[in-house]
Amino acid sequence: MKFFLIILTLVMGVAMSFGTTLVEGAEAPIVALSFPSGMRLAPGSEFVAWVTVSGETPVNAFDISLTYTSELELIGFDTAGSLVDLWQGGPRVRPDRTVELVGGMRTPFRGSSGRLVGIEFRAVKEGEVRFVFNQVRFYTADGEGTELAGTADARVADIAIVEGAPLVVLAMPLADTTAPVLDAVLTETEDRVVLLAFDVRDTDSGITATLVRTRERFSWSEWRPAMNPVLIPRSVWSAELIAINGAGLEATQTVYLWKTIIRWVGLIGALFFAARAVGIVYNRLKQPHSL
Amino acid sequence: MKSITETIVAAGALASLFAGASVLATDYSSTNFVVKDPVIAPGSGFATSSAFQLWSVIGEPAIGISAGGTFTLKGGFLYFPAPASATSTPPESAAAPHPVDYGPFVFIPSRVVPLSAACDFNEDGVCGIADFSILLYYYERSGPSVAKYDLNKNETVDFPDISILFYYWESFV
Repeated sequence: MKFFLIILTLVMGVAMSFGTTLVEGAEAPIVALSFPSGMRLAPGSEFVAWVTVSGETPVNAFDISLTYTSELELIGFDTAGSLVDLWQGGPRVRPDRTVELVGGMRTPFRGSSGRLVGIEFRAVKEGEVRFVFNQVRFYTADGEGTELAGTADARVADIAIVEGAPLVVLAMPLADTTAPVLDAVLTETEDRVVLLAFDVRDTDSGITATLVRTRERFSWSEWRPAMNPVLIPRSVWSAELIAINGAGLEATQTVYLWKTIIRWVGLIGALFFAARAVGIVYNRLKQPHSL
Repeated sequence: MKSITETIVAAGALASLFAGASVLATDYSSTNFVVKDPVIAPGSGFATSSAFQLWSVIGEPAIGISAGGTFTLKGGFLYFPAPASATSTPPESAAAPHPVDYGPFVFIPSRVVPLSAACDFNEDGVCGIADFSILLYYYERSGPSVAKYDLNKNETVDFPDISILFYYWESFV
């Protein structure tokens, strides 16, 4: 019996230590989806689920993806009050209902319930809503790109979409009287590709859209969504960016590609002098020869 | 006055030669999409009209693997970072053709990522989120100590450097 107890103790000790080493991310950040719990909503209702991060290790970049079930339709993203300064391609959603979030913050975050982005949903059909975090990666602010295997809050969404339940709509955003801050600059890579780099932020109501248009000859192109950076073809001589916040306020900036402008001026000048030379030669040939 | 008139006429004639050299590609759209600023990038074979015949080669297809009865095409620069040795000999048996892997075709895209990409700070072979984290760590710092991270060489690590990193972004899947 004594021998059995000793063996059992040893086995339990080994099992516990093994279990302990398998516990990953003791200091890893925890990402969660924050929304009013216990909701019963009618189809057509709207709500915002905030992706938040909590942890004691300062982090400055993340790569997160999550999937939601077909009871919901994603209608937008809310970046008001977000920790994130720079998005790689912006928050986006794939046709298979996977939300992809890749971004970073200039000031590393450490603490609890730091907001990354709000995901705006609309209920489209009856059922029980589910969210699944497919990937959670954070990077410490240590200058070495150290990855932390983050963990996801495993709370199951307790949102039910039921006919006859209350119809909820998103609240109007708080009044924001401050225009976004937009800073754009032209830069060139080592392989001589011209990029329009921009930094846009609005801490109050967030940025809802950033658009760009370019000019090659005399007229502007159509406005199109701008992704940082914007690739500028060599034939473009002017580009304009506009950033719009949640309150509809705008900030615009126009940049000029002086190399292209000088090239066009030089071409026109060369054309003029060539035409002048042609004219002079033509006149001399036309003059009657004197005897 | 006469010489000015003749100059303007000659300038207009020369300008028409340059204007005729440009071919515009206008947007085309359907009920649920618009293709903005398209470029002429035909597929293989040739196309004809009453006034032209255009011979073309296959352009860069969508990233991934395309396969037919007798070929496999792997498309996408750096999609296959460890290219297999190319087999250029077609199958000898014509009676029972089987797919032949000609090795990955590396299409030179409009942008070229140097093999020793300046933005791959952690040297893991890709300019990605780890490098993004490193760049953010040195954000708004100046001086020789951060020259490695100053991608646009303006002596400061700032948002244009991050934009250049985003331009060479490879790792996002």
